[in-house]
Amino acid sequence: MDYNKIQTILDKYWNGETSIEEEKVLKQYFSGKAVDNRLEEYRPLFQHYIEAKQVGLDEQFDEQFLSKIAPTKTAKVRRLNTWIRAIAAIGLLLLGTHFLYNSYNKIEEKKGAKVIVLNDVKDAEEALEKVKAALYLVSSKMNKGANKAKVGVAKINVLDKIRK
Amino acid sequence: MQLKEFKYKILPIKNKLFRFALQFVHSVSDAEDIVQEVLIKTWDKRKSIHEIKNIEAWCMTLTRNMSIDKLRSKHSKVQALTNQIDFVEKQATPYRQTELNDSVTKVKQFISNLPEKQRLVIQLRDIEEMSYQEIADQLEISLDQVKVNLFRARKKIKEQFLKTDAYGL
Repeated sequence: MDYNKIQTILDKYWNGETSIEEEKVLKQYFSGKAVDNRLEEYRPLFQHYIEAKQVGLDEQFDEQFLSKIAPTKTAKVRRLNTWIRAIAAIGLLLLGTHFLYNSYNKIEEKKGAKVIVLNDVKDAEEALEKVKAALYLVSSKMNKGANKAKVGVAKINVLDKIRK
Repeated sequence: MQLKEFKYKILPIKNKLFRFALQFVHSVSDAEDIVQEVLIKTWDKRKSIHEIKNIEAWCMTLTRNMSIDKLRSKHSKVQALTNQIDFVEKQATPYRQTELNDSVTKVKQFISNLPEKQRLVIQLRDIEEMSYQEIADQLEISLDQVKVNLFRARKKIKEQFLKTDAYGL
């Protein structure tokens, strides 16, 4: 920035007529490298203004202050958290035991059912027929599945050919 | 107001409050204590803090009042004198200040020796960049008083520069 312009603002500054923006211009000018020799003597003043605004408290202050206002609060929250966790753990434990107990009962019931079926079929032939029927059902279902797979593979092959 | 909000809304003005307190008590440790008390009071008031229009200005006023109280409680002149020494010594350490060259230190000392009102107006205007109205509200003086004090302070600073210049010759 040229000398005349700064000199004008500086004169205004001494008369107490500058705006905050103009004062910022001065600070910026005097903290830069290109200060005109004729104005060099005022550099320390504006340097001081800039540096004085850097004066402050360190992080230690924050820690000290926060420990003064927050300790009881965080401790309380922590205690509450522990309780919530304990209750959740007990709940999970109860839920788990409940499911485990139920599924165990179901297995027992199924075992019971098998025994009853076997007891019902007294005739060996009848039993054989029943097993055959069951196996046939399984086989037919498997064939059905295999057929569907065949159709699928055929379709894929057609698509593959088209692609080629 | 929650702690989180307090941390980013109120805590960052601590440095401005600290610099303002220093203008009265001239002792780093006293100023630090004052800022801490101000922040604790603000924190205690957090439930009704939204009723305050300008929290920063409110904190500044509290800082000023507490600084004046602190000074009054230490009315012994001897104490004030040791505080002054304490201030000068601590300011020169790299603890809170960047390196200062001689001429900046001289300017600083000259300003710190200005009459209180002039010094305060310089602090709030040239360092904190506050408007005349804000300064008037903060120091509880009229707008004209702000302008007059600023004018006188700057005039003295200018004269000082002319004087050192003359000595330099």
